[in-house]
Amino acid sequence: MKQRTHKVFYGTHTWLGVLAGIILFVVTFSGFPAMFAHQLENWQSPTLNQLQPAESLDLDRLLTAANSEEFATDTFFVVPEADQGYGMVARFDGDDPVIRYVELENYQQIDIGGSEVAHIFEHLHTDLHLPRPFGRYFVGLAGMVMLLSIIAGIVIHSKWRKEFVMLRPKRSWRLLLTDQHKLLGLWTLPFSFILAFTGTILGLLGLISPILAVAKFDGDVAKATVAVLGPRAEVVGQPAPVVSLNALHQRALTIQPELDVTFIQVDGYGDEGGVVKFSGNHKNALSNLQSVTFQLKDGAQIHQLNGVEKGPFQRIFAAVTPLHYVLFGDIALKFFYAISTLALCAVIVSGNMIWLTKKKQGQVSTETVNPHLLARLTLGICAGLVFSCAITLGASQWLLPMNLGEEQHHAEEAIFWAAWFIAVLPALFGRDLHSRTRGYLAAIAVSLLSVVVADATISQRWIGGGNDTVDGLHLTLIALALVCSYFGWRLPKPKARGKAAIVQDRDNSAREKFSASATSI
Amino acid sequence: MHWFKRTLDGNSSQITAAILGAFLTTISLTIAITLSWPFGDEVEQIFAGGVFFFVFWAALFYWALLADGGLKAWVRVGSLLLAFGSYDVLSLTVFA
Repeated sequence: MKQRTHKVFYGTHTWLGVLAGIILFVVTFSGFPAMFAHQLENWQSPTLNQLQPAESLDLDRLLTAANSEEFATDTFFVVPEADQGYGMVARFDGDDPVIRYVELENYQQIDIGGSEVAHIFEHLHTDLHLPRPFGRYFVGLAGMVMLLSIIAGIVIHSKWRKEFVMLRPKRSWRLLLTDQHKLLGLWTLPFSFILAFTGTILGLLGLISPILAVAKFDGDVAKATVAVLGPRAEVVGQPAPVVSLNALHQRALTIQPELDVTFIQVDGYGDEGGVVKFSGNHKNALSNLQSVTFQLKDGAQIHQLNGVEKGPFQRIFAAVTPLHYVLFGDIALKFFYAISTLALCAVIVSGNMIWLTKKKQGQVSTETVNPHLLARLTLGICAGLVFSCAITLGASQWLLPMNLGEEQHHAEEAIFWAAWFIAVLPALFGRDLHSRTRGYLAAIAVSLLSVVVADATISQRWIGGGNDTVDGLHLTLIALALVCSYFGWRLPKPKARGKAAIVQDRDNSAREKFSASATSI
Repeated sequence: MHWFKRTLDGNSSQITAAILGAFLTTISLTIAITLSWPFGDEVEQIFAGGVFFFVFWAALFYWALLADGGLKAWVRVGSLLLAFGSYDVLSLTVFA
């Protein structure tokens, strides 16, 4: 490879990391709880968490129990969670969304409390709590930056066989960081590439939809959406009888036996033009573009979408969401994704640290130098986010006895942002970031353990209680707390740097440059 | 004129070509693929252009960055933009 080519890719890899590393960390780390949003949603409400799986599902009874007639012809959604023992009926139109939960054992409405901690994390991952759709585009662009950075990383690391296993913990701090960056980067490469690729498509698809509609649908995005996802109801204001949803559900499963119905959209219920769409994932293939749509008045099938049977590009697109959110495989695969997500976070942070360490080379003493702003922001924002997530998770349980109802959601959001803001502050002041880092790691470990304590104290849930969700969450939190404590304990203390150390650093740097040039030639 | 040429050949210009120029070229390329993809229905054709949008953008981004200066970067992405743009305009108007 030409030396200039190597330099361009190296420079791009570096600057993309320096400029966007913190945002990439926020998006990547928030993907960790977002991946388990379904489990967290179940855990955050002790009422939902103690329900038993339902043996059967009666959709008509579910609608009656949820008083769905109040929604009239407005669009509403049904989420049947038979394996969790409940069903959700919700209307999101307008300023005041209505969400009702029904226990499937007795078809009675239940109060699940006001915690929305799972959605707070999910929303952070999908659009950083920015106004829609700009937040989603922003996250999509972050995915694009990650994709560019990964491509450059592959090109510049030509000695990958060696780097796959190289970790020299007893050499210099910089070498340790570099080895760790390359090692984790290589091991998580397929995973991070899939996440960046699928995340970019999910984030930026809305941005390119009008462009694609120009080519085939005269710029009419709504027409393109109907072509892809099927028609919506045309409410004419004339009442009409409604075919039983149970019967239509069975017909949908006859038409697509592999359809795992996770979402039912009812549009114009009781109207002449009303429709119902049963959609979900394919049971045995990577596809969430599966749906069957019927007319409500006579049960006539008006649309079918089967991503598995489409052409190669629709097939790829159908696999994007399942690949990104791990909607396939079992819980072990999800944990593998989760560990890879944390490894990717470590790669992003260590990238910034390598740049800062190189920048510091040649300075006589670390004690007298004011830390770089990037060091402060990386430490404050990244460690602060982890701390704030743990605090908010604990708050979701501590707040339960106050019976705040829907206000709990706002309280949790306020706690999340306040905890993050306050956690950033210690990194912005003072010179000794080393002791600050130890402090952050200790605070994160304590806050993670406090979630377990909150759950045990408030909701009387503990490991070994026979609840898989609780067991999984507690074990994960304890394991993460132990990892943070270990790193806090083992964090190498920076030594005062004399002339010999500077010469050694320069030697190492020259050797690295020579080796890079030799490889590229 | 000399100032303009120097600015166009500078680093900022090259980075702009890599980000914005490559983005615009990718849009025209995506439309061209959607218009000319011969297989499948209309939905398949729009996904043919859309699914690998970001891969094209990434490729053009680095192609522009690897040029010797901003001017050459703009020539690279500009020539493709002109070619695909012309194809799109002709397809959507004259040959529609």
